[in-house]
Amino acid sequence: MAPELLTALSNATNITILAPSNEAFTKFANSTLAQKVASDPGLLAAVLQYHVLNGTVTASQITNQSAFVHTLLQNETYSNVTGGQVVEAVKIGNDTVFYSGLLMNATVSQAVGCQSIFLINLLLISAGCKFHWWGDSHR
Amino acid sequence: MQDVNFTGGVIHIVDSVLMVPENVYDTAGAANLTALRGAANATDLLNTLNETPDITIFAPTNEAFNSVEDSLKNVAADELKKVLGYHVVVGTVGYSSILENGTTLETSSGGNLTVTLGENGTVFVNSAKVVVPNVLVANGVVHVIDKYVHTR
Repeated sequence: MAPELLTALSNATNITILAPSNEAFTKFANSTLAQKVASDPGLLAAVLQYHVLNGTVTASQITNQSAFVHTLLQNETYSNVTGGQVVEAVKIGNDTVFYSGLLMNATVSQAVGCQSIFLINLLLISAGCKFHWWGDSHR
Repeated sequence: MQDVNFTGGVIHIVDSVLMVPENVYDTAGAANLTALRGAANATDLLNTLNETPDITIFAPTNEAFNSVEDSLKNVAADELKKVLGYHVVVGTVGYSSILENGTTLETSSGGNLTVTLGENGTVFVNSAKVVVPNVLVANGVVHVIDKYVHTR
């Protein structure tokens, strides 16, 4: 899948992945965007790239003042912003929220679902990344 | 809330798939900025707005257009194009994070817009108030404003 993305991931240090949860995938699968993506590999790659931020952005670094963080999406067919298309990152109360196109918002959720883990594993292992869960450091 | 770390960085699990920002024409349609879209179409500005890299558009609402419609009704297309150009900045993507009190931006029709920060983080561009900030588009950002800007 998306060779350019895998190349980008395998060469990347200091990136942040915004990984949709199980519920997010279900919602998405039933949307009109999913139909568009299914028939357009370029759009699929663009969507995937848009979920990877250039730089390490932890929850604690995000404040109630909006920050605009570049993503890996630089394909001019879909994005024409120097440095890559951005997402807006902001803290609203205790929630970390990312705004994307048409002011759609995605909130960082506590639940780490199996499906999203599977996708992350697939992406990262195929990109040659080693990774550990935060809990590992506390053994 | 814990971050999930891997050697390449951080993972956040989010509750929605992010939407890649669309072009100005489609975004304006979705945001009901139909008067802006119509004016851009009538003055042949649509391609410029859609395709110029690193653009900032201060987009008047339909109400704002309606309130000046009479004065623009018999204006030549060139003049209308110039008026619209006062609402466009090229070469700087003016996200709210870089708009500070006193920031000036040069518009594509020449002339400057001056940013003022009001109470509660309200942003003014000349005397127009930003009512919806930071609408991302494929080639930059759109801020929706409540009236036409007039350059000083």
